[in-house]
Amino acid sequence: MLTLSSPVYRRSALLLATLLICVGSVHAQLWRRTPKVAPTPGVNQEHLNAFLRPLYTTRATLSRDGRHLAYTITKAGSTTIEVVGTDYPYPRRSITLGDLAEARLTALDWIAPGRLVFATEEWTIGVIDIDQEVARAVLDPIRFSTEIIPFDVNLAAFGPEQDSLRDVSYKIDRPPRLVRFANHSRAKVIIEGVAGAHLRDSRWVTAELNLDTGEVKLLDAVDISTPAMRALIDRSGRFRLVEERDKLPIQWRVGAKESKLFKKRWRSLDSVLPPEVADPFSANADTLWTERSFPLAFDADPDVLIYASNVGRNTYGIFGIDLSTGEPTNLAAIDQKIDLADPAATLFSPPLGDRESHFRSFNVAMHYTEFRADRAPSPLIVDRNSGRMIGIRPPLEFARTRWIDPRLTLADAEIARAFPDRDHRIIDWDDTQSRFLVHLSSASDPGRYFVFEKPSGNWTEFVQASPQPTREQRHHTERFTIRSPSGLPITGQIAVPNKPLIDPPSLVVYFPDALWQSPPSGYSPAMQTLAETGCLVLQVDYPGTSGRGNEFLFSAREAPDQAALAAVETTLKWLQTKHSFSPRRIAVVGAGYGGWLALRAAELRPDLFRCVVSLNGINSLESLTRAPPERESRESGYRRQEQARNTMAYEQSILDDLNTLMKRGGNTEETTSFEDPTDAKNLEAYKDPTGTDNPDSLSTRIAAFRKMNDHTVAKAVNLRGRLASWYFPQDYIRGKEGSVLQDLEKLMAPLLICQEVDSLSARSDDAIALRRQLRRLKREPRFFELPAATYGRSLEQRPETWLEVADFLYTNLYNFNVEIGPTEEVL
Amino acid sequence: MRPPRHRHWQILLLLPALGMRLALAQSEPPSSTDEPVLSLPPFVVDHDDRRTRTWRFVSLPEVDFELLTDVDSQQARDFASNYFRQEQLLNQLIPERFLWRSDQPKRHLLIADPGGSAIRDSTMNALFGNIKNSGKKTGMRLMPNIRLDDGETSMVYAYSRQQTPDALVRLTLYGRSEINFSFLTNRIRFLLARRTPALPHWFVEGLSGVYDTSEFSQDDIEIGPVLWISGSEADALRRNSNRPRQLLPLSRLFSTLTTDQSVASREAWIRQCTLFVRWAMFAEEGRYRDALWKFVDGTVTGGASDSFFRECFGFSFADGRDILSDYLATATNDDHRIAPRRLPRTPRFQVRRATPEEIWFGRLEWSRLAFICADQHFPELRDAYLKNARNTGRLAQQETTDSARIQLSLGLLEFNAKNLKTALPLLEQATARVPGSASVYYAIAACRYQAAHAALPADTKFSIDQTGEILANLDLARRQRMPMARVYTLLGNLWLNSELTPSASDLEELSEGIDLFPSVARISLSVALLHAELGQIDRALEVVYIGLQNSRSQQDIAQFYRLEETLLDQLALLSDG
Repeated sequence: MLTLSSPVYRRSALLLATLLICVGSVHAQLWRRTPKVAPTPGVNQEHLNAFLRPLYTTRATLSRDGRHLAYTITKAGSTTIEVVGTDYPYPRRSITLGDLAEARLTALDWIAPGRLVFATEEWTIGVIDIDQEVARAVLDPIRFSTEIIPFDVNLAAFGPEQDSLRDVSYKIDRPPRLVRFANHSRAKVIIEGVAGAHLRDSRWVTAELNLDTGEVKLLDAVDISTPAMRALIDRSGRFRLVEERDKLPIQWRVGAKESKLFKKRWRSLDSVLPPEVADPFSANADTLWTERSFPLAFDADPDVLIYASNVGRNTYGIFGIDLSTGEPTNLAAIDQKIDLADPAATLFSPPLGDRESHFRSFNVAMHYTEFRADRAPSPLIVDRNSGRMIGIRPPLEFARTRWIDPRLTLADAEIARAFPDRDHRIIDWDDTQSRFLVHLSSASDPGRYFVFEKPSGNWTEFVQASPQPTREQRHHTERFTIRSPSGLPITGQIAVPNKPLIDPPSLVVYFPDALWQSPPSGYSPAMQTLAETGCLVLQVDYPGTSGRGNEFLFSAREAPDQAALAAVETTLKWLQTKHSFSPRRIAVVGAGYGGWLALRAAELRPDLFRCVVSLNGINSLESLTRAPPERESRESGYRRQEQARNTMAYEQSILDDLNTLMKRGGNTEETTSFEDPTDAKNLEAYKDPTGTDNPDSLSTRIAAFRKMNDHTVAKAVNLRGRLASWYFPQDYIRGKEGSVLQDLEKLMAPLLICQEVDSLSARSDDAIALRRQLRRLKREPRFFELPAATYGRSLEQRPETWLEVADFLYTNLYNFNVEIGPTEEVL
Repeated sequence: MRPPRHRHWQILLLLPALGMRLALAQSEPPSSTDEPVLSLPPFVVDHDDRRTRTWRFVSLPEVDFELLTDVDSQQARDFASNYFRQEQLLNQLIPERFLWRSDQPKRHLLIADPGGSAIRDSTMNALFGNIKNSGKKTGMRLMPNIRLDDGETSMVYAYSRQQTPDALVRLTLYGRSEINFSFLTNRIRFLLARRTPALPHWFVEGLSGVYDTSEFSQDDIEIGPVLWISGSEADALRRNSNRPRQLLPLSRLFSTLTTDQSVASREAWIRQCTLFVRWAMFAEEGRYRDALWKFVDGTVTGGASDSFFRECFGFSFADGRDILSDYLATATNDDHRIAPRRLPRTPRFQVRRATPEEIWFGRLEWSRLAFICADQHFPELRDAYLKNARNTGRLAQQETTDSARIQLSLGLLEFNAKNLKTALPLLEQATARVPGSASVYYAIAACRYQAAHAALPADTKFSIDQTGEILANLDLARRQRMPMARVYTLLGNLWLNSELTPSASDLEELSEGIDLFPSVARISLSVALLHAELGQIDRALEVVYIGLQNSRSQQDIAQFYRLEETLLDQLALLSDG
């Protein structure tokens, strides 16, 4: 019988009591009163997507008779060319180019009133027949492929049955890039392309493409002689100027304007121009950044070279020189305040996409020449009708165009008067210069395309660059200019949110990746997206951006992180008087170099910034001196240049032997009685690199040569790294100053790192190292990885990035005053 | 046709398009020939059946309305009531301060149709036989109604016909018991265009355009969708909101004058003015309506600037153009309704028999206005109309006993006919008994000015007494409700030709004319010259620059530049000295 005193009863009671206490405590834990927390607002993905959607219209062109306008519409991954009559009732035709995925058009122009030519990032050149509403490809890399005779072949199998080395050749796809219309016919265009499996067989060619028949006629060719080479073509498609930048000073060669294919005569630039003109072209390690000249294009007169120079000046002007006489032409355009050409455009390349990288994997010539689907933007504006240079578009975004033709000057002035608070760009005009295609935009608006008819003063709006988001949804953005305490201008942009989440709103300070570049000052999806989170957004053009001459570019080279922060602090004081914001809710976001600035700002002023975002950011300026991953992968393990010279000599001997073998027949395994290339008397300064047992065997030599060939291309000068080393103080370059990792204990704010992990343009080791260090300090950052983009898009141009950033900001900027109370014991 | 002295009434209707002052309505087809058509204002002459006609008179001072009519009482009452109601509804759409107000009531002659083209033809032959005999051929078109004015006095002449739903375009007859009508767009345009200070041209056209698409019933106003170029274009815009559209930059929209452009450009400009006003009044439930009124008020005095536009609307000209462009697609497809909860009740009024003075004054005034119109547009018929007007005046004097109003009208007629010697005593005698209007006092001042000027020896100026006499009348003219540009022009000329030195307050009074009539160069020039004569070169230059800013004609601009040059030379001399 169970009694109160029985052990079973006592055990059961104890068990029950324990159970009740546990339940009670759990209950207390679960249901104890906690402070009320307002729900974190969710990211409105639809809205954000609207801001980050690619522009609806990216290309527009007016026909030469002014009667038709053609423009692209990209929607849901598909691109259409719309052709609209410019007179009422505006008849319209639509031609679909199909699914180009993310690839954009790189060119669109009129062949004739009913025909257009286009080019895409997929390296396709095509023609549109408007009346038929049909688009067809005329040329692509496969059709423009070239033959390579490799050394990479098993010549052990080579025997007398082989008729020719050509039987073992293979084709390599060669991406064609549209240059311009041929001088004599608009049914033909000049194209260029590079191809090569190795440096030795890499070649740059120009050709004339018949748009009707697809026939390609080679015009000119130049061997790619160094792993870093640029070439300038004149208007007839001839190579005229070659820049070899594998070492400093940069070397230049001038080609004759007429020569037979493959028999061009080259001369050094200083043999053609007087020294005071030629010398600045051959910039060395110092003058590359301070005072130099660089070519832009050849004029309609093939003897006249148009070039940019800042010799003796603060800013870059544009000049002309006659190569045949060495005399300057009457072209001399100078502005005291802004650069008319961008020196950085020829030194640095935009990000490399996954697709482009794929092409380079089998066509190394693209790597050596930085051959991209889009040519580097030129400041020169040429009239389609006369072929004359008619204006200059400075690199500083939305700086006024300098027109040489007075009629364009008048039209431009009239447009500016009609829309004084809009950025305007005259894109095209008809042959009579009566009708102008104008793009009007602002920092708040990606803009609209108009045809302005000067005689009547009529304006006809044709298309919006991006109808979504609507004007009401976009956040008002204004530019500002204030003065720093030292008197230098501080410029930037402010985006004001339509619907701040709190009053006063939070603030995001944004540092774009604009070191040595013109600071972005137009419509910015990034700023719009940040403003969509309900924050006021401030972008400051930090010292080190270009476009305003060397004085501005080189200002604040000492302690650049502190200089940028000082600019921000000055601006914040001013901003508080214009648009009030919550000083306790300031975030800082930066990309690339701007990412470093953001991290350093958070370390230098941990009291100011509530959270930090780094997009492909670097940890110190030492990272700037390292080559981008794509360059390194090509160049890792390369031997030095003297080995390259040896290899070339060795290769020549192999060629000679092979030719003899062809005539005589035989087997490459034979011990040859050919002229011994290792005999020093045969080749000066030759060193046997084979290290084999039978250096006399041709097969052995070929095999050895194959092995060494991949490693004998000289390392090109890392110009960006060189500039960094020169530009910044050495302590910063060595990582002793300004290193994020060194001051990590001061980085207390929550951190989001967005990183492209397999990009060939951006290094990820800094981000990984930062994350690792923070983990050790038990301050795990939020880490968001992205694969490389398909085409050359920066991280800032990718929607996924900003969705992540927005979510991070929502979480960390708005905590609705939740106070964490003292710990309470429950049991 | 019987001669007018036999007091026979006859209505002669000679029709159409006179030009900008006339309200055109429906018309019968022109004669079958290709001959040029003379467009003549109608005039009233005697008719035999006067005994069967009763003239009635209605006055509604609340809306400055007078009606002289020979329709029956009920029709007259309906007409007046409807007029009042339409005025009240109109004020729901257009603030009263934007409409022209004169000291004189808006007079209406509503005539019952006597029928009879035979009478008309015989009248024509009798009056205008000279023209016919000269071999010039004329065609005629019937016109139901017409409005004439002389800058101060406005009269509408209309007739009612049961057969056609016509007269004032929207006049309809429901049996004989009710007359419903609404105002023609031209009337609204007239009221807007005549306001002083002058309203901006874009606003006049834009608001007129909005009115044109509206339907006024008894109780509400329906504003229909925007008419953009054509119905098919409006359809196309509805289907594709990205369709190309031609829109001027707002800076150009606001600075363009009605008279500046070719027909095609003008139509496009008017369309956009209408679109803008419609947007401002109705988009987003009328959010920007007050901003529009504020912008118009400010523009009148200070011109349309981007900064002021931003102050009113909150965004720039460029943003405004974009908003307008986006609005266009929706505006072709939506309509609006203004339904005021309560309109003011029609005041009590009397429909009574008209007195002889009222009858003859109305007829005489109409004749006078018809003469002015003929004088301006049909010089070959000037004498005929003048003769008719004088005949009417003589009859009026006979039928009324010593009426000061008739005398005033006669005096003005003679003044309009440039018969100043006859005009002056008539006007002065009349104004000794009844107050005159601005036109009357101006006419007196002008007559005195001309008389004094003609008698002045060479190189002499008006004496103090002469100046005083003229000034007194100009002052009376200036103080009337409706300012007139010619008053200030004459005032400026007076001071320039007077021995008397104008005081600062005199100059200030004259400068009011610049604010009221900025585009009348003569006023600005006078003020500038007077300041210069007083040694106030800087102030003179300021006025010159205001004049340059407001001038449109090359002649005026050249005059200002010449004056500027002279003033700058004087300034240079002064600083050298």
